[in-house]
Amino acid sequence: MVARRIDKEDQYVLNLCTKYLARINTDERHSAYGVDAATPRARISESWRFPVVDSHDGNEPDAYEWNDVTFVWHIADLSAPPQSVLLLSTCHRLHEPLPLVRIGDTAYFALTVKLPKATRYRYLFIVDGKLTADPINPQTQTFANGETWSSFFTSAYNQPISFERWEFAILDRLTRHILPFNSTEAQNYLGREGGGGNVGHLYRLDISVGVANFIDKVVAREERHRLYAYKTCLEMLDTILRRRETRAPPEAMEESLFVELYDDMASGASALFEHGWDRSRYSDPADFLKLLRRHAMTGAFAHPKYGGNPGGMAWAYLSEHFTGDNGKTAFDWQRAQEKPLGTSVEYRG
Amino acid sequence: MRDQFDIVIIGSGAGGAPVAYVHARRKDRSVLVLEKGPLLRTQDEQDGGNLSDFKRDEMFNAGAERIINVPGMTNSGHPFFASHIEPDLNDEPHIFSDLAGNGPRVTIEGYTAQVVGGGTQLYGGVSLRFAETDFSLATFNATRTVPLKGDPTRDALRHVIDWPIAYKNFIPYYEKAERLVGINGTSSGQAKSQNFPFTTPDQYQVPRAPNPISLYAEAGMKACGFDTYRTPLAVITDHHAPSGRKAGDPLVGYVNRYGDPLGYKSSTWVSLLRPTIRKGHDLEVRPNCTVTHLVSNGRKVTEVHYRDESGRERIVRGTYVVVACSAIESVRLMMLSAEHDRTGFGKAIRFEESGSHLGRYFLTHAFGGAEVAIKRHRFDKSISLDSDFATDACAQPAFLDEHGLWAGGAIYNNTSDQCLPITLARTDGSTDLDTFWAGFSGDMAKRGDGIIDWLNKDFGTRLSVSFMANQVPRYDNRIELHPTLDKWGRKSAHIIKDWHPHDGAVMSTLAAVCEDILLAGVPGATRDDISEGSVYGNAVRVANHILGGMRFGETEAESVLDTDCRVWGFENLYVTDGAFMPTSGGGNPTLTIQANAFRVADLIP
Repeated sequence: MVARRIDKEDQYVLNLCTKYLARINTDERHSAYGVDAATPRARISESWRFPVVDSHDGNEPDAYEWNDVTFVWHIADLSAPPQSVLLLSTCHRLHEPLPLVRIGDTAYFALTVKLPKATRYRYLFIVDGKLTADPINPQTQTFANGETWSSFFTSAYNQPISFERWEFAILDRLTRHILPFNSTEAQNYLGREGGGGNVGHLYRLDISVGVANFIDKVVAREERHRLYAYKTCLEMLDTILRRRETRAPPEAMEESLFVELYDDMASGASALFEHGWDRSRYSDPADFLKLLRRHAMTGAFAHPKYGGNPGGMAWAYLSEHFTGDNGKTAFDWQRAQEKPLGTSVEYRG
Repeated sequence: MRDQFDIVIIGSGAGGAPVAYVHARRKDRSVLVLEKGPLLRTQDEQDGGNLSDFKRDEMFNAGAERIINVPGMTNSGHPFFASHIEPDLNDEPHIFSDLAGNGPRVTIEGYTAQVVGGGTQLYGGVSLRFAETDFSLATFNATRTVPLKGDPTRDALRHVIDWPIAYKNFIPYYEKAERLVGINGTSSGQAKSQNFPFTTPDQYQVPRAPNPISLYAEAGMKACGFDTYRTPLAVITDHHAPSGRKAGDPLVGYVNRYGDPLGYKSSTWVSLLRPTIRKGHDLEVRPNCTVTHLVSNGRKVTEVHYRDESGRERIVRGTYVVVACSAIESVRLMMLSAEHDRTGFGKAIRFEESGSHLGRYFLTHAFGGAEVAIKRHRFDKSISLDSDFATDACAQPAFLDEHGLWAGGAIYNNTSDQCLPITLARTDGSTDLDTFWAGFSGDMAKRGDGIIDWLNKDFGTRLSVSFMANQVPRYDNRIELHPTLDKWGRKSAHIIKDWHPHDGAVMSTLAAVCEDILLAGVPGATRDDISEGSVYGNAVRVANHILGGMRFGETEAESVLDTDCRVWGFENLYVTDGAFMPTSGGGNPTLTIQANAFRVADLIP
């Protein structure tokens, strides 16, 4: 991959930096649940925003398939700014680091590159000749040789980051049970009117996969403080399911077992604790279910760039399902959204 | 970098931008606007680009969960959900307590937006004039013999003063604001026009066809005997010559709490600041710059201290200084400046002095409404703006006499509310901006078929009618400094407030009217189908209508600002956001803040 450098206005970069990075208060107020305790990012706001992944702003016919990614180096001591900051990354030739440019006399070096959507890369900065991971971005990858690189992913990335296959399987089953696409009425409707069952099949399959993918990404970036909850609770749920059904793995278990699991978590049923939920690891199963419900709903209906709702499929479901008084859809989502996802002739995303 | 201007304005929203607009267009006049937030562009103004920094994206409205992590707060560890241009509450908390001593807690209520354009970037655009009586509620009530509901000790009106300006003299500024900002609506049917007719033609652009669901609200208002009008909204529907904007299709539902990527919403950036800069006037906007305090010498503010985009301390000087950071933040800035120099600035502004009104009479609105799901009909509410129909019927003296109320308010229907799926879920059962998701997440029955049932009932069917009425001013409702430090090491704002029992009477009366409107307008609806309510009992709600705290008046003994909105005790310091209001008015405040800022701009030499 060879990243292409993109020129951005200084104002664009400063707009991305000041709110999150500029400050004098050194309290650790940004380490939700201690996830970044004792690190520099505990003292700055929303460190997950860096590097900033934005829509690619260009005139190319395939512009929609790309992101503009802006890397930022924050000068901690303005009296001794570094002479050079370079980006060494798998998004460019590794033997050819790209320079970040200081924005005037500000505290920020920055570099914006054009990269394809749905990709993930790792990188290091070379600051005055010294290799270092990004002190802002919390996403890292550590390799067998002990090296730790910073990493990031672009919009609609769909390869696993946070979860193992077995964790995805439980997530998929539980979120299907929460969302409307797997409901009796949805299946009847889609089977009857949604293209002879094919569309219905797609909804059931892809939206739940999309939602699990959304959660995989949101706990890798925006809500890293929730990763612990998923890791802990999915492991306990796996134990509980395997204790309740010994003949099949969770992905192949009967629907009724997930219904029972949902109900037990909602009510805090004693059976859940007898079968393996450990309160000392995560006290209230209903709290985890609430988290999962919020993420399921968000992942299903957020813009596809967040990793769920592939192709706007969940919006399309609402659009097909709900008809207005005028006989047209009661949710014409496409008219407001950018092409090629939507049909707006004004809004470009 | 220039450090001397004729006028330095702190804040670029409804209070600051009109002053910048007027003064930058004067000959040989230099104006600087300092704005804490970023300068986010619309599609047509990016340098060589195609895209806006605003998106039609529900994750921009209130996206990822953040966790409150401010020591000593009763809600530390709780989640909050803020838009991309609202502050990080851990960096700059607003701290709330009620008068009963509950709290302190951190709240997202009471912020507008930190961005060039301020709250006008995110608001729904409702741009109502206040009624004549809203300016003179002390006088209006002085001669009335009607007992007020919910005021057994007769103390509700103890702190009410008239606005020290005549309504008729204010009308030209309403007209100016309506013309320059770019507002669609109708004047016919506005009761406010009875004594003070609108110009012919009025300053409004022609509204687009209403969303069909709003016709039930219109029918209900008419069936109740109320005159109606199309709600004035700060969104252009036609070419707007003063700001050089072209019209397009503004009806997309991504309105309230969204910046407009296309610039149809008339934020003060696209309507006032941008066109002034484009015309080559001497107006500089410095985004990402946080003013930390003002420095004075005698009766003059001599320096404005701020942190630039890198956090460096900077100083700029202005012959005149205008503070317009939204009421809470403006009061806080005055208090921080006073703490910095207690014997100079502090004494001049009477900080912590007995009898001082600084920070007192903090106000929002008494608001609430009624809602119904219309059975057997469904509408695409995403093809809409924020509201379609309004009525002034509940601001009329006869109505107030009949119901024993000190003041009234406007009623209008909401159109775009809950028109998008994530917003529908996160506001389901939430009681304020601090409780997003709390309802849906915990409503375990909403799953699978349960969600289908819920969407069948609520998606594209819900019609709400809201009221926005005067809140009783109370000395005890106030802004103070809280020792919790923000990201610049400055003390935070502490909002201490509660409702007066008479506010409860106002709200229950107007909520009942909203219910009557729906009952009359929606065929087959029964009272059991309609839910009605208000924010009474939930003191933290401020609807982002942040008013009072530095009220203006005729004497220093009763106010912080003089009739020109200049701070008593200073020659060159003005306040033009909502802090000046001694009473909160019977409608959304933005147009009145803009009109008053145009008025004050004419008074600054």
